[in-house]
Amino acid sequence: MGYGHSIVFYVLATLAGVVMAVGVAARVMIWRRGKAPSWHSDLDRGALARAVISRVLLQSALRRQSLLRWAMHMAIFWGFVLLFVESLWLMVLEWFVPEESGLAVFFEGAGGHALLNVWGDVWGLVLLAGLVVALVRRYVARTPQLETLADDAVALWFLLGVSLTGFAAEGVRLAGGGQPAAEWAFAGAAFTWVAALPGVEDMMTLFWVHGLVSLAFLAYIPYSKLVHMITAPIEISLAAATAHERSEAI
Amino acid sequence: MTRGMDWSLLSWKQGLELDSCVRCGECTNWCPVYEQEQREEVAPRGRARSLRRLRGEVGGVLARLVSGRPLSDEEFAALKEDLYQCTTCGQCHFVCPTGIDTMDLWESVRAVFAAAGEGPLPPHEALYRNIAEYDNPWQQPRSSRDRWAVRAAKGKNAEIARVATAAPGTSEVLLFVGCTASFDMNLKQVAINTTKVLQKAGVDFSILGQAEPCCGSTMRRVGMLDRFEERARENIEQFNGLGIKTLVTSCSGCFKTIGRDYPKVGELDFEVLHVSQYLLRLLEQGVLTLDTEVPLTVTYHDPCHFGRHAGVFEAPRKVLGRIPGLEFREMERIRENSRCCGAGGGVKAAYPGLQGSISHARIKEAEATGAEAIVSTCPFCYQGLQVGMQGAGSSLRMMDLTELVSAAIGGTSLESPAGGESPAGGEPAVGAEPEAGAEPRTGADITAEANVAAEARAPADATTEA
Repeated sequence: MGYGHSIVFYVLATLAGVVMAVGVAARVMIWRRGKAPSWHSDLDRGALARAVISRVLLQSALRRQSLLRWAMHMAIFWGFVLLFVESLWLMVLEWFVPEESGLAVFFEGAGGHALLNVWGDVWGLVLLAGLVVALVRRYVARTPQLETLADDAVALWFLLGVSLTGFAAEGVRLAGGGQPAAEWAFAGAAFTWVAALPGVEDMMTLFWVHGLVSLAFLAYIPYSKLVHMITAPIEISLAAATAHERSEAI
Repeated sequence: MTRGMDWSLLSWKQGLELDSCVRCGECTNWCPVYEQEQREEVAPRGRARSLRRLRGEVGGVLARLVSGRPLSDEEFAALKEDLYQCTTCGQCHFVCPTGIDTMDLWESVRAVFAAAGEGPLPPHEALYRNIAEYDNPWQQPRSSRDRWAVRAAKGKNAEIARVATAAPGTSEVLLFVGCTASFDMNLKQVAINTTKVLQKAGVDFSILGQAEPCCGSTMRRVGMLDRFEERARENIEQFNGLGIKTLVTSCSGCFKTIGRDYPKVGELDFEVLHVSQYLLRLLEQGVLTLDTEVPLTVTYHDPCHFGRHAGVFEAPRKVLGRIPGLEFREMERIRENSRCCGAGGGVKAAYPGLQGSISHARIKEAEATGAEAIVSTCPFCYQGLQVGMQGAGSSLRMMDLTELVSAAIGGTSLESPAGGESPAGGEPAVGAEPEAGAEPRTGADITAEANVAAEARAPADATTEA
């Protein structure tokens, strides 16, 4: 990516971040209207730590209810989180890691590219698999407990858009040839056909499409049900940390 | 339009909780009201969405942007109804993957509605008036609160005559009977059996007689927070003034209210136990032994306010397990996932048809176990389940745990179930005007009527009028 493109992208990323922050701030302001004391104030820190591992990271509550739903949500959760981590890492590499450092040299080489290709493809496929299950449950199986409002649909299709444009961008990049460790991009290789579509011959076109969809998705989070990505881990942890106050008395 | 809602009555965490619903719909698989109504709006998921929209009406453009379209007047009116169709059973908390504390949340939201003059519903207002004027929701004169003891003393349960009215420093244990067992003639046996068992164990205990106040559970459940807190403070002062070490109650609603809600209002100088917990303690200490065979097959219904709300599941089961000859069978849904009887949260008063349907579903589940009787530890569930039995034409027998324990100490014949009529047909009196001339009597009066002079402790001066 050229320097000019890079600057524009990060300006847009900052804008998305601001929109997201405003949405989160609006939520927080609403919560702060509440002045009643929280009855459960005696936090069990051990239970809180266990809940973060068990109920947030491993989503044990969902596993007890349905293996399918658990696998689906774990795939979406970890797929998204680990792809986001990769994106952050690439940003850190570009802006904060000195070019002459061993770390930068490694990720410029074939080994680093192979690692990033495998990482991106594996977690991209995991995310995609989770989304496919979610779509099937909602639109094919029509699971009775699911109610589909616009918010539910937008959240799902948005995430699918992030996932597919990511693979498409990778496919076009690989189709151009000359990419280091291209043989490790096994999933992206299945999307090289995208390059044959009119208007997307230039790798940057799909890069921008993927980038803008992803930034818009991040900005959308606090204005939708996706805000549970922020609130649910907090609530789960607090619920576990205060459960002892409701525990059996004998 | 802001509709005068004061959202500061919620805690910040409850605000966050409304935003923590992931809309997975798991609650719709378990909610007893949704099971009957099949309407999204009554399910916790639907209610949370409506409340977010309502809450977003205050706070300007940004608040609306994150909260969704404001409610129309029709939607607001429907939300008010839907909010009060909730039995506050707490099932949604236990199945929510996010663990939202709905047990407190729904009651707090009701308080927001009540403070804005949008709640509770007229039947609940009537219950409050009853409590304010009669000190019980059953619209019964205060003078009849201890009639169960008086009648028992005059009849074949003469040993009840030994029950003394509490006065400061007289007993370490106070038996808090509760309004339902005190006034419903079908349930007076709960109080009598509890008394018999405690006496058999040699427990030094007393009752408050006519000075026993309503715990105020109804007010808390329907959102009358200020009134509830006022009552709680009065009651705490009364109880603390007795110098008791343990308050034992046979009502799960009273247990939850005094044991879990009162400490949020003021400090209690005593422990609060449900009678099943206390009996288990006596059994484990060897003070009480159950040696009479009770050849019956029973199943157990977990009252919501005892189980999910207070976390007590084991004590009643352990007591049942110690009754010789008793065969115990679990229902399909038990403990944290126990079906509600439908009576709680003001639903029995405001939506009796809905309550009957919910209760009917529970009775069908009990029948599937092949049990002869369904046992509970809550007089209000007892009433609620009886509605379902009548609706289902069930041959099941409704029993309180204390009845079985009393039989197991040889104190009660199971061939002679409790008789009599409910003073108000099994429903709290929500429509009638207070009865004139219902002068409260003092604890000393009760003592005289019950002819307890010989063994009574000092007559009570605890005649606090609530």
